[in-house]
Amino acid sequence: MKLKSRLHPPLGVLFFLFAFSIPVFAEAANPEVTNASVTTGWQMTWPAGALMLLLLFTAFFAMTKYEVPLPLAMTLVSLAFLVIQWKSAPLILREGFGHYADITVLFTAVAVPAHMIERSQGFKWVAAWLGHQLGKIRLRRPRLTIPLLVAILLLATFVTAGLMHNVTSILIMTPVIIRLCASYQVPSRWILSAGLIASNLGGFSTRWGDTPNIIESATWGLSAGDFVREVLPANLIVVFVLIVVATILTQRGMARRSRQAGTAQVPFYTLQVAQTAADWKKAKADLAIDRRLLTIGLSLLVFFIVLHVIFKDLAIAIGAITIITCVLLERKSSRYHTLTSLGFDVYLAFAAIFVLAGCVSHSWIGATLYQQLIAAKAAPWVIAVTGYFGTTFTEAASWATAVSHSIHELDPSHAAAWALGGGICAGSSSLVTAASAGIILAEESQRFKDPEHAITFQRYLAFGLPFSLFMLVFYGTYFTIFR
Amino acid sequence: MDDPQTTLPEKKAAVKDEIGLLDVLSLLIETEKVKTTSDLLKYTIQYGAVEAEERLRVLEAENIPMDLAFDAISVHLRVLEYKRNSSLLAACKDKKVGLILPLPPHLPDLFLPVAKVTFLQPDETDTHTMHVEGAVKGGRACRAKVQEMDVLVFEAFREAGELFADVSVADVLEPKILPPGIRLIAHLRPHSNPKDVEIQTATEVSYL
Repeated sequence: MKLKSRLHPPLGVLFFLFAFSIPVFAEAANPEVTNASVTTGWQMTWPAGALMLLLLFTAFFAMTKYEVPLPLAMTLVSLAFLVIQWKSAPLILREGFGHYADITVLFTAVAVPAHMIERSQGFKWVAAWLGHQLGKIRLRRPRLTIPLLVAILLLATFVTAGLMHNVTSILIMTPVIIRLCASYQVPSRWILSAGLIASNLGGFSTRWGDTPNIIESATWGLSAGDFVREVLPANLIVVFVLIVVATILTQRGMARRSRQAGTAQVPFYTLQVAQTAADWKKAKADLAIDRRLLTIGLSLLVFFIVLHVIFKDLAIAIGAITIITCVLLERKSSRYHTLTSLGFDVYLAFAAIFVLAGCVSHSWIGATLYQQLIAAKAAPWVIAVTGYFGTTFTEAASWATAVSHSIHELDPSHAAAWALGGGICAGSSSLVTAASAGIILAEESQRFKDPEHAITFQRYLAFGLPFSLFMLVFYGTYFTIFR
Repeated sequence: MDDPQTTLPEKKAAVKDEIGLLDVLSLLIETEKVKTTSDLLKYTIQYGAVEAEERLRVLEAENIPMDLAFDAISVHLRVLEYKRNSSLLAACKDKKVGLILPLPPHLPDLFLPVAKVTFLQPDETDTHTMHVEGAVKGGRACRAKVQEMDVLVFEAFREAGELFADVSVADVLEPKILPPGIRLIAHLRPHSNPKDVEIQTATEVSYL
């Protein structure tokens, strides 16, 4: 009950803002939906919309409080939504799977080589090297340690998310952040929370870095160069602010910890730091790097990224070639494992999210939001605000799927795509349950069985909500100015 | 003094990796925290390396410069480690040795020339373990196989005198299933893992 009472006020505030925004933007207008059968019926009434929102909130609550796995919760919710759709269900199911089809190949083409690199222990080697170098810096210039640690970890998360998708990035970086922070007794809470936002920002910076980007690229015909020229500069500004905020909070955490420990100095402090640095060196020496996996994974990841950027129309074929080559070059006994390295639950979760998105867009919720966008003439800041709340209350990929075609019809300019992406990126960063990466962060950090490192709904909220609102204001302003 | 071969469970806390001291001192020299032989001695005392401390006291009394003193204890400790490891490996000669994966890559190279080695991989789902053809895979198969072994080598983490290993490794090391007289050799890793559990051993544990 204690948890319940803590959870409800912030959700209540967000819901209030969401509900409040409706009459502000809304003017009567009819949504243009191609099929007449889905524009009428009970699913287009507000009680159906309210029921859908209730089901979604229940799923988020179950995932947070009772640790119900995301694929299970989302699958049940999407099936319940199909029941609400009733006779329109077959059409929406086909539409949802239509959007999902491209993602299956493109996401797998990045994930398979990325998992090969991860299995080769290449990332662990880099983390051990980093741990050793940080120890040296801590011995030479102790004051530089925290800013450097925060900057390196967040930039590494940002870059890996940009190259390998934000979900892969958070999977790789969470244990690295926890181990590095634990070894040097640095509070991990703010760095882990900021890491989730850095992964969202990295994902938003490349065409293939996040599922909403893949959807938006297909809808608006965006190239990789468009992302680099028009989105990356904005995201680099946000990353810089993120590093500064996380550094200040981590330093304050260190100071608070010192105050709680009293004035007594840590015994043999210098020796402890040197010993930790030496331990990282030993950890690096003990690692068995699978050079074959590392070489194949790296080469094919570069192959896919470069070629699908150059030959945009052949992206699916290039993705297929990447997957086939990865599997064939893998050892015979591991081929099936490599092909299924993402796991059935990931595909199940994605399928559920896309079906869920189809149901949301063909419901009272979708129609209401569409009316708001028409009323505001698809102004970037309105797109960003609806993207923010839509993502917070549904999920990043599902929101992008649900609204990208409608927004593109209203405003085919890049600014609309970036505003939608910005709103989704900020929304994904608001709650730990707002995107798949957040759920993974919560699960991975709690695996260490240490409350110091566990990122729960409440522990994230204090960082995520204010920073995501800053992101929303920033993107709303930035994409209004730089159209 | 540190004798990895005679480390009984009750003596676990006293074990100190003196070779590890060399890396620590080397870092302190590199970062200019150690400038004299007295500094070397100070950090060695803090570390708790008795063998090196005795040696350094003599060198300090003889006014030996820091770099020479470091070289001297470095050679001394490495020779000691070599002798310990050699006697440990000699004791494993022609014995049935089970190497429980995951292990660092250099460990199998030590045992393969002298013993009848069997690789055991209790956690089949661990895709990070080095690839070994012909390894016995799966918890049940490994638990059956260890009953034929004379020596078991495994990776562990030590904290406050207690040993922790991956849950799948701990399952294989359960005292009830191990044959009497089996020798356990642990390679210590410097960090804990999320899936680590404390292991209770009825037999003595040596360290490599």
